[in-house]
Amino acid sequence: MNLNMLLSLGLMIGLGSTGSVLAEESTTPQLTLSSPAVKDMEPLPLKYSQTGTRPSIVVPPGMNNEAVNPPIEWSNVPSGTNAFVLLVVDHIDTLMWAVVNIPGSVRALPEGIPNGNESSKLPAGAFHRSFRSNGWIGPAARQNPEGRWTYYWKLYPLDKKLNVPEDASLDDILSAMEGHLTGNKAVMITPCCDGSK
Amino acid sequence: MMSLRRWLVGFVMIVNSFVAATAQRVENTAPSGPTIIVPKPSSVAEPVTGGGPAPAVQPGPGYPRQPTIRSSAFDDYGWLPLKYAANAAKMVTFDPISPPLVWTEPPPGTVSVVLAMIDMETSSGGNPQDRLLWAVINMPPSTRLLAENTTRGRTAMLPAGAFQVSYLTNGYIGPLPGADLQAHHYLFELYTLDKTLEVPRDVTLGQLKTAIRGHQTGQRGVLVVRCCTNSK
Repeated sequence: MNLNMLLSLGLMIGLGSTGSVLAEESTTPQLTLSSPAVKDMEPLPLKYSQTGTRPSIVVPPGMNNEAVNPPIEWSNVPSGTNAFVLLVVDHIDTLMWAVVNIPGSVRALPEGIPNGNESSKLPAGAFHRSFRSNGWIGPAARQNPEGRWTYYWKLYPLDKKLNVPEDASLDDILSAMEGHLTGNKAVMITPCCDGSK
Repeated sequence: MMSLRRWLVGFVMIVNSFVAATAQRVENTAPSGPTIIVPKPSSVAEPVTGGGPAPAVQPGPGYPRQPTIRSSAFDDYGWLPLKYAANAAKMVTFDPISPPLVWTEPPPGTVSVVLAMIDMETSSGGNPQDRLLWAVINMPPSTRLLAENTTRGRTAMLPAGAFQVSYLTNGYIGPLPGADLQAHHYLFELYTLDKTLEVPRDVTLGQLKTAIRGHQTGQRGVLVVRCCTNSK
């Protein structure tokens, strides 16, 4: 199929512009997400789960206080980026961690940011939460009787900070980001906790 | 009065956290088994305090297991072979072939099955949505596989009643980054549903996910791959 056919197809369906297809051919390095403690496409270490090194089928509320987030860093930031949002969601769209309104000059998050938004470990002006806490909650280190649990890490480079409340839901955050990405997302995938150590 | 209110709020928070902890485990109502409650994330943005007994959720008969989806052509958490990438040879071809896929039996009560292939990195127009590289919609529940090289647009190759789409075409388009670019992450997601979807033939990923919401008979199955820096 030649480029003209592709162009007309794109116009016919009214989806996706050929402009963006061509833009992807650029060899500019893309935004990259990484961690000194967590490897992309490998199990998340148990230390970052809800119960640390004590796997359990169901974790009672309250035990999550021991969970610490892994250190995260990123590079190759697109020009025009003034803020970042980091989302960690599981494969059924549970919001495991959102760090919202990270300033555009920041390139890393330290390990063990405490719940709440007062800690100096949290970048100035940012806030964080999970689906049931105001901070990192971590995967439940269950033996997964229902199968593998998968966690997606996504860093969104944005042209501005988001105007969302500190109890914003996953849908709220995604809606607020519409039209404000300065480039591609950066992604890591970590299953947990079968195979975690 | 104030302290009573605070106590009430605290109590509601604890109850909510129980509900949410239970809800995280499963996605939808099963025909039998435990009652499933959908979490309301915006209602629980507070630290969880206190302990208490664990919610009584045990896997049992009818518990919605995650269906397993795999390919005979590549490993889960592996690299997608270049033959399945759209522009592996620097955009020489836009006619990649689709990979072969197989999956396990859907949960009881499944009426239709949807396969979606997603590019997680790409954002177009500054939007946060992932890109739909392939979807096969309204497959009957007896379907257990898609053969390699499902031809674009021709429903004759699909299970009866099914149709296919991508963000750009009426069939498989596959990964777009060339082999010399940074790898992207791709998901093959399998949704088992309690009904046949009424969505347009050029349905977007957003519309598809909206249509699926509330109609899953179990967890979605996921096959994870990267492409194309280390693909062969």
